[in-house]
Parts: sequence; C-alpha cells; structure tokens
Amino acid sequence: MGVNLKPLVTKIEVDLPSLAGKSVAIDAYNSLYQFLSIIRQANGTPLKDKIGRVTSHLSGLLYRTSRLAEMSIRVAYVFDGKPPSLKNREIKRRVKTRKEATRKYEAALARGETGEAFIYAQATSRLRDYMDQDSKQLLTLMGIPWIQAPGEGEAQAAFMTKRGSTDFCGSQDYDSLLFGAPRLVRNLTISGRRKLPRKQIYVDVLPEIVMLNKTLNELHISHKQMVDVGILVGTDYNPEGVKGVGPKKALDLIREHGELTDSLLESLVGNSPKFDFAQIRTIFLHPKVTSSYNLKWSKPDIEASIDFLCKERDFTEERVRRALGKLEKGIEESRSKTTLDTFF
Amino acid sequence: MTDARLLRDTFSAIGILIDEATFNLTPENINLRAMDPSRVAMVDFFWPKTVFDEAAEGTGFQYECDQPQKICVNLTELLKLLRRTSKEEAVEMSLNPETQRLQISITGKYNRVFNMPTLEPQEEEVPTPKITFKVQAKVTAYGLRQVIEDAQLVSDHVRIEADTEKLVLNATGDLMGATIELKKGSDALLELQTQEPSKATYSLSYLSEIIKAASATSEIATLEFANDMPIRIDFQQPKEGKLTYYLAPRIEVE
Repeated sequence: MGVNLKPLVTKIEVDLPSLAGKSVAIDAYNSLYQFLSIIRQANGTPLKDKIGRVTSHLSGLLYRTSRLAEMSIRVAYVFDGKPPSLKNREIKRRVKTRKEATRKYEAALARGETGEAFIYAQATSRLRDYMDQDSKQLLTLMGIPWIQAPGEGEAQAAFMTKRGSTDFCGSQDYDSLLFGAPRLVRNLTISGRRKLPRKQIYVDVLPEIVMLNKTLNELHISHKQMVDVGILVGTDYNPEGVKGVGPKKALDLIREHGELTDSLLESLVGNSPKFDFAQIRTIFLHPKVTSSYNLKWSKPDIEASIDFLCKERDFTEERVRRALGKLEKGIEESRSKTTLDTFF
Repeated sequence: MTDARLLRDTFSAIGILIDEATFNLTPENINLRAMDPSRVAMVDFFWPKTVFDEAAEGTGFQYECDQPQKICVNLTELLKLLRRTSKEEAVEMSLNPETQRLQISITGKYNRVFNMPTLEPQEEEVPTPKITFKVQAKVTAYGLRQVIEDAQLVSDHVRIEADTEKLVLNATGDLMGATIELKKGSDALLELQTQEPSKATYSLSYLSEIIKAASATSEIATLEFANDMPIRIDFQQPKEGKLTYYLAPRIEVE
C-alpha cells in the first residue's frame, strides 16, 4: 500500500532521456507487483510458460530494464528481506484482499466478462517464492546488480541513495521518503502508457521526481516530523492510521504540536486501540540496512539468458535477443559515463 | 573594457551548463558554483567587486550589495536580454526586494528597462572535487579551441595524454582518427608541468561547448588532470576573478 503523502509532496515530471547517466535503486518487490498486475492478457490471465508458471514478472524485468539501459539509466534491484513484525497486520490484510479479488475474478471469468475479470485479476497478483528466485536468476544473467536487503527493500534503497551509491530510489510508494531517500523517482518501471482503471483509455505516464529536501523546505517541517505525519496518515505498520486524519490534517497537527506524542494520539483516537508510534518511528528513522552490497553492472550473458527465457520459460527468442542487444549496448555506454559525484 | 560584453560572455559561459543559476551575492563578491543536470560538469565562478570597478571605467556598471543573499535566475532568459546589449552600452541589474523581480537596465544608444522574476534559490552546496592533479598545462584559449575543433571532426570523445615534453590528444571515431600534438615551446602550449605521465578521456561535446563559450572571456586557460580523473579547466579572468570548470572523465570500457 504505502503511505499516502501524495497531496504533500512537490513533484517534478521529467522525461526518460533527462535521467540519462543516472543510477536508480529500485524497490524490486514494488516493481515486480506492478509487472504481475499489469502484464496480463485481455481476460486477466498472466503470461505463463508451457507448464503454467507465471512469467509476467520476467517479461517486465527484461523489457523494462533493457529499455531503461538503452536510455543510459542504470538500475539495481533491491529485494525485501524480513519485514518488521509490525507489518504482519498489513500483510494479512493484503492476503485477504487478494482472496476476495480471486473469488471475484473467477466469478467474472465464469460469467465470461473479460473486462471485469481483468480488473479483479490485477488485484490477485501474488509474489510467490519461485518468482523471487527466478527474478534474481534473470537479473544475474542480465548483468544487472541486485541487492538482498536485510529488512525492507525501500529502506535499503533509501540508504544507498543517501550514501550516494545511487542517484535515485525507484518506487511507487512514498515510504522511501520516510526512510530518508533524498531523491525518489516514481513511474520509472511503468512509464509510457498506463490504462486508466475500469476504462479502455490509456494515458501517458511520465517519471516523477520527488526531492526530499525540497518537499521538507516547502512544508517547513523536518524529516522526523514528516515521519510523524506519515504515521498519523497510516503506514504499512499501522495501515489504518488515525481515523479522520488525512495528509493535510496530519501536517497541520504535527506543525501545531511539533511532534506526535502520547497525549496527542490519545486526544485523537480516544478509546480506540492505539499503535506504538515510537516503534514505527524507529523503523523509518533507523531501519535495518546493510552497507555490504556491490553495485556492478556487467555485460549480459546473452546465450545463457536466452537459454533460461526461451528454452525454460517459452519466451520468443527474436524479441529476447533484441532486448538483450539494447541492454548490452546501453550498459556499455552508461558505464563509460561518470559523474562528478564520484570525486567529491 | 569598454562595454558590458564581459558580463554577457561570462554569463553565457555559465549558461552552457545550467539554465537556472543561483548566485551568491556578498558585499565583496559575486559567486556561483553549480553542476549541469547530468552532474558530469561543474562551473565555479567568482568575481570580486573590483572586476566591476574596472568595468566601470568604461561606461559604468558597478556592483553594490549591502548584505549577503542568494538570487536565482533563469539564465537562459536573462541571456536573451543581455544579448541585446551592443558595444559601449552599460547594463545595470538590480533586485527589487519587495517584488523579488530583477530589473535590467541597458543604457546607451537608447534606454530600455527589462524586468524578470527571480526563482527559489537552490540550497544544495556543491563541494570541490578532491583530485590530486598530475599534469598542469597552460595554453592559449584560442589554441585550445582549435585543438578541440580538430578532434571533434572525427569523434565525440578525446583522450588527453601528457608526459614531460608534450601534450597529445587522441580522438578515435568509427571511421576516422586524429592525433594532435602540442610540444613544449609550441605557440599554443605556454607551460607544461608533468609530475607523472597521465591520460584520461573526456566527452568532446562538453569540452567544446565549455571552451567555445569560456574562451570569449579569456585568452589563457590552464588544464589540469590525472589518470582517469576529472579535468579542471581554469580560464584566466580579470582582477581576482575566477571561471573554472570540472568535467568528469569517460571511463573506457575494456
């Protein structure tokens, strides 16, 4: 889900070419879910190989990563490790949503309503263990670095960006900002065209950049205060937030009171169950991250990638070869470009 | 100095890398340091008040600033206005503290006053790259410009190499190649100090744009580089002024 800070942040729309030469630490699960949700046939069935394994995520990783590499944008994927235990409620909620969606999807299919089916199918996306594994396998073959985060992938991506290892965090969720990502880029793995929900209409989607400092300056709050705003609105660790408190109200409250305190929370929720805001704050301000990671883009192993994708997962060789060609050329070009940041 | 061309040319040279420029103004000087959006190149600009005093002997533009402040302008737009100045005309720029608009008066053959909005200053402070340079070469700005134009005929990047006796530029394109040699004692190479033979490769599109624009403000340039390190190009300025560029190298992939 992610925290809803949308009305508060300052975003700049950019086009892909303006990100040339940049490196991005992408929240892997965030984009895999997007691939699984979007890359489907018209009736909502995901792409599958001959023996029924879903391949939508591999298709997304291959074509999107190659497309970005072609634009000299280097991406690294950061995979979630063990989520903080506070997230269990949210995870359970997601399982429930998915079950409901699956039921509706099957019912719609049975009725032969493919349009309806597609909509529900999008919400059934589930990341299974084999998808995690074969995504990592494909990335390794493609020469794209991937990082196993000890905790939340977004926290690790934010940490890497903060240290200057990458220029941006790539995610759809604003949680990256709460984790302290100085620069967030959204819509990176989906830009191009996006179908409007429930309509046969496609809109152009451009990447959006959110600068943490700029946003904080404009809101006149500190990063810690922004975390408190997020907690009031609701995060993955307290999905409900505080009833009746949206982003703007939360901002006003934190500005007025300086920070979230027991008494402020008490006055807002009354007798309803409270959440442990101090613990959530710690998750955002001091997340579990690691500084042992290797960001190295190497030449793709084209033949091995083709063996894996075409022989094992039934991709069309000609298209795969074309995508890998773009990837190889792009990686080579972007490797030859350095920025001054390396020398500060 | 008989007109405001130095101002126009210097701002043009800064505008090669950035569209929005945040200047720091203090009572003693005006300065700016910024990287281009792709963070490959950086410009470091500094003019003490005295640069303006000298200019003032001509037709008079002066510098006054009572307290330190930052001002951000759209340089592309400002340059359009500054390009309207012709020889022996004077320019006066002042900031209206109430409206935060910049007023640009050009006086000479006739008088006109432009005004434009200022923008939110950028807070990011760009650090100085930490580099130990091994080669320092002083060249004529004109010579440098020629050399780069030669190299650009065949490629989009150039390898610069130096030993104690000479500076060599090698450009290799898909079809053609070029080797350009500047020996100690040649007209274009004024001085060469090499602590260690070094080589590094740079993008010619950046080099040529920077050198073309900055050589309008200066006759002498000093190049400094080291193996696979950024190159620093300093264009000598009047008085204690400074106009320096850093350009990140291209790393050659095996």
